[in-house]
Amino acid sequence: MIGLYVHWPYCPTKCAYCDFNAYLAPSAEAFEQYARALCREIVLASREEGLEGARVASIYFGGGTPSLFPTGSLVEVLDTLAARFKIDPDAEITAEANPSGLTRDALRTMRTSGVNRLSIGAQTFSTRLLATLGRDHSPEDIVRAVDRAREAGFDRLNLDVMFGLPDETDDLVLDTGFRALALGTEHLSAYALELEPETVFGRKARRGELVVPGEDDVARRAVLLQDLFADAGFLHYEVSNYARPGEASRHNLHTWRRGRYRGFGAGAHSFVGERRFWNHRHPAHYERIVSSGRLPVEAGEDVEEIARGEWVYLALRIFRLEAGRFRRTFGESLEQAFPRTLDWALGEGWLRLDGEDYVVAEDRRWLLNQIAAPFLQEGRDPVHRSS
Amino acid sequence: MTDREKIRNFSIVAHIDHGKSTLADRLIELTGLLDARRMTDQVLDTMDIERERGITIKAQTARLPYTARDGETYILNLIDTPGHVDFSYEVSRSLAASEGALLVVDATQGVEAQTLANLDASLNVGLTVIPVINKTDLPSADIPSVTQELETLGFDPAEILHVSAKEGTGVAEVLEALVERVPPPGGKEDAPLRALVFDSHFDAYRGVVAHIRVVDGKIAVGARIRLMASGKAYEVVSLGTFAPTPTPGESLGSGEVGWVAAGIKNLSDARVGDTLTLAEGGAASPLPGYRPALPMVFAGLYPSEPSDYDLLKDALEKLRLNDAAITYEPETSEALGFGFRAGFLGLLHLDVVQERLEREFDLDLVTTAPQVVYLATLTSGQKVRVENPAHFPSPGEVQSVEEPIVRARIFTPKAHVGAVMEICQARRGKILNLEYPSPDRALLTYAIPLSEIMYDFFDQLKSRTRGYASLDYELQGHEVADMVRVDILLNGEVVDALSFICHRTEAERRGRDICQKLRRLIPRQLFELPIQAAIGSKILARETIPAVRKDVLAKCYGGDITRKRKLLEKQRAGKKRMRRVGRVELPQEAFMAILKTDGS
Repeated sequence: MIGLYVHWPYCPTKCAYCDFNAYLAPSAEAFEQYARALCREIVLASREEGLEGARVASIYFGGGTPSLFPTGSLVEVLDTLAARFKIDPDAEITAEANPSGLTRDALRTMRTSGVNRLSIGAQTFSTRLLATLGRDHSPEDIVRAVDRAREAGFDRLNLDVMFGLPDETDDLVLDTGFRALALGTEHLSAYALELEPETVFGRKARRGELVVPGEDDVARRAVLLQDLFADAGFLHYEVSNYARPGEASRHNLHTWRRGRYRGFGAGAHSFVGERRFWNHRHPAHYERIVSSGRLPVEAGEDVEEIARGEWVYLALRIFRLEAGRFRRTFGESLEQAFPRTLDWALGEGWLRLDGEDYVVAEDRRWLLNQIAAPFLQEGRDPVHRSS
Repeated sequence: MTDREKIRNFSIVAHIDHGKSTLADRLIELTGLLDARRMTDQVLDTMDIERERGITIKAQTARLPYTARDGETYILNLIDTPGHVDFSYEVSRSLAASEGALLVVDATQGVEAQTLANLDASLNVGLTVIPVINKTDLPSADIPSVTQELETLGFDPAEILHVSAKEGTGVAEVLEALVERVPPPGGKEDAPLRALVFDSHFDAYRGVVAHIRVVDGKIAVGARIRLMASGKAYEVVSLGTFAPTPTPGESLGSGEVGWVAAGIKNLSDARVGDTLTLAEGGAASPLPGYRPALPMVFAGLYPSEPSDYDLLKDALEKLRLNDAAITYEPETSEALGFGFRAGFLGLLHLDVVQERLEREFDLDLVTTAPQVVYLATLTSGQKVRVENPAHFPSPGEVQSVEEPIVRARIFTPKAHVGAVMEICQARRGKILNLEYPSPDRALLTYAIPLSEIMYDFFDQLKSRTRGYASLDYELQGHEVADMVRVDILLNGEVVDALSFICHRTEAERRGRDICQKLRRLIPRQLFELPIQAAIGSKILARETIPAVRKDVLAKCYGGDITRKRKLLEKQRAGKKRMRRVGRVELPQEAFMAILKTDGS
């Protein structure tokens, strides 16, 4: 069973913090040309990699701004996927959406073409912070987007919010949290801002023109949101993700459980077999290669050697190392693979045992990097495995 | 062997950058030894570091045949002297091998502190000094003022030569003046051999090559010789002159300058200043003035990678072959692992050694804060030398501590005298003298603790006098002072490599400085981390690093697991360069930053 990812690399505006593979939207013609390349890549890849007929339980349209997708093209891409893969009838099909320019028509077409989950990039309900981030929508647009999505028949919605923003206060973060909760979505994502060097924010920060909250403030706000969402009945099932029971993103969980996925589109990442690889980032370059009948893969790495460490590194993000799943995957127990690190992690209070699973201690959820690195290291070191 | 009457032995002395090496190059060029095309600039400064810094560390020598205007051919032995205060002992010994000295003064700068020091040293060994104003071609040259300054030093304007070593003008007059004014060498041709070792170097094929000036008697290949200070005897395998590269010969007679190879294995067996004589029927007493050069400054040298310890050990051994002044012994630090405690003639010497180790041996070093040698008298009456803060006696067992004091001479424009006095007073300096050698320049003489001029003193002097001040100093003696050892504690544990000795009045300020610096440099740990500075159990300063609160990646873009994982592993790889002190991981950079800002 694999997950599918489709990348839409265009946005109406470029946000100041974003270093994703996204470009300002050109013409409608360019959109269609890109969609054609997508379909072509899907056909090529499924054939060359022997993925035809593979079972698919989740599809994710990410970006960029996939809600910009011309509706005709979206249908075309979904049809192509359906023709090549065996998509579960109850597959989770998510599209990311921008609150601005979400028309009723577009939403309805999306819904009827099979998209059944919408992830709306709210980011914040502060007008001032939205401007700082370079977003092209207002808090009211977010409310309207949720209303319209419900009208169009979406019963699974996510809102993305951000914290750790310049000039933010605890109250602003809580206000955004409350207003996000008030919209009654099934899922909430809360991301701490990360300063990426090649962004407007990154450059400003280097020049000292942008000041972001310090570690203590960011950590406190992470916990404020965590508590707020938990009190409202949401489960904190991944570092940045909260869901009502049964509403966790399956595509998301699939990734953290080291499930295989195939990504299509410019800069899209794939994980097939024991190889992770990625496409050329620039849409024009990507299209040129695909139209010449070749796969647009730029590079990749074999991860067989680091498979165990990677497995733990990813599982830590959902706070649970499932012992049975590890054993079924690798034919040995977690204790056999990580004798030293597990011992240390238990002793230092990082992990506790829950049955035979290892669970991340509640108060260490915001410190995962500190524990992930030793696992990656021991996972690389073959010494213990031969003994 | 050359007729003594036709020999002139001379040195060139100058303040740094006044053009000593350029003048040496022109003299060599003009006597036809090397043609201009083959001359690399400054032939005599051979080490990269010397050339880059424009300083001479190891003295080198050249034998220049010169046909003077009187039609006679003379042998001019140029004995090039090291040019920095750290090597003042070497300077004085190589000067003792000459009869004359060219005192070079920059026409745009005038007399500076090292000009005076060099003049004193030259007069002390009875040299004929020829004043030379250099760089007369520069538009900013002020010959009248410089002439006046030289006059106050006792020179007659008529004897001052005007030269542009760069352009080559006036250099011929310098050669003539050497022939006319510098006396031929004295010494007794018939007396038993006495030769002064004024330098030495290590040669991979010949072993130690001693640079000598024969005073009495003569030395020939095959002779059995003895070094009078070390007492060791050898047979002369080969000898010769510097032309300027070593050129073999048969013998060297009274007054001559050359080199001797005698299968000497260890540079410390042929120390600068020692007297070479015959093993049998040798001289009864050595030439005056020998003393071994004593290290004045000590520091710990540690490899950044603990596995490089053996490399460092090898490198130090090799370096000592060419630099008898370095001393070192193994040392262990809890924080830095295995390394060496090394002694140096001064801070520049330390710098040069450190740079050579890193450059020539490709080592990455951590150097602990340099420290001077203290003499402690214990309550038991016993006297001990303290070269390492770790060995500083505890407050209960020490009766008194003496610190080394230097006599510092500072030349400055009159307008900056106040600033210089301020700096010196802030560093516990006592003024000994203030004079005005020329109307707008002052010469201040201070007694000041050596430890006080080790940290950024010269930088301060330069910046407060707009770069005009010049400094020279020499060790004067030891004085009782209220010194204490300050320890730096992380999480309650002493970080041995960060301990330092300072005056009690300075302890709190410096302790607080280091604590604050560490607070900025040490990454947050999983627990709250106190940083303290203390004398014994008395805490002087405290800072606290809060525990790490958030360390997790927010988002993995579109399934890009690889990039974030690599980021994490890179951070982790950085941790290999962490030094562990108790439960605390201390980044290498923290050590470097503390030691750097404090140590230079």
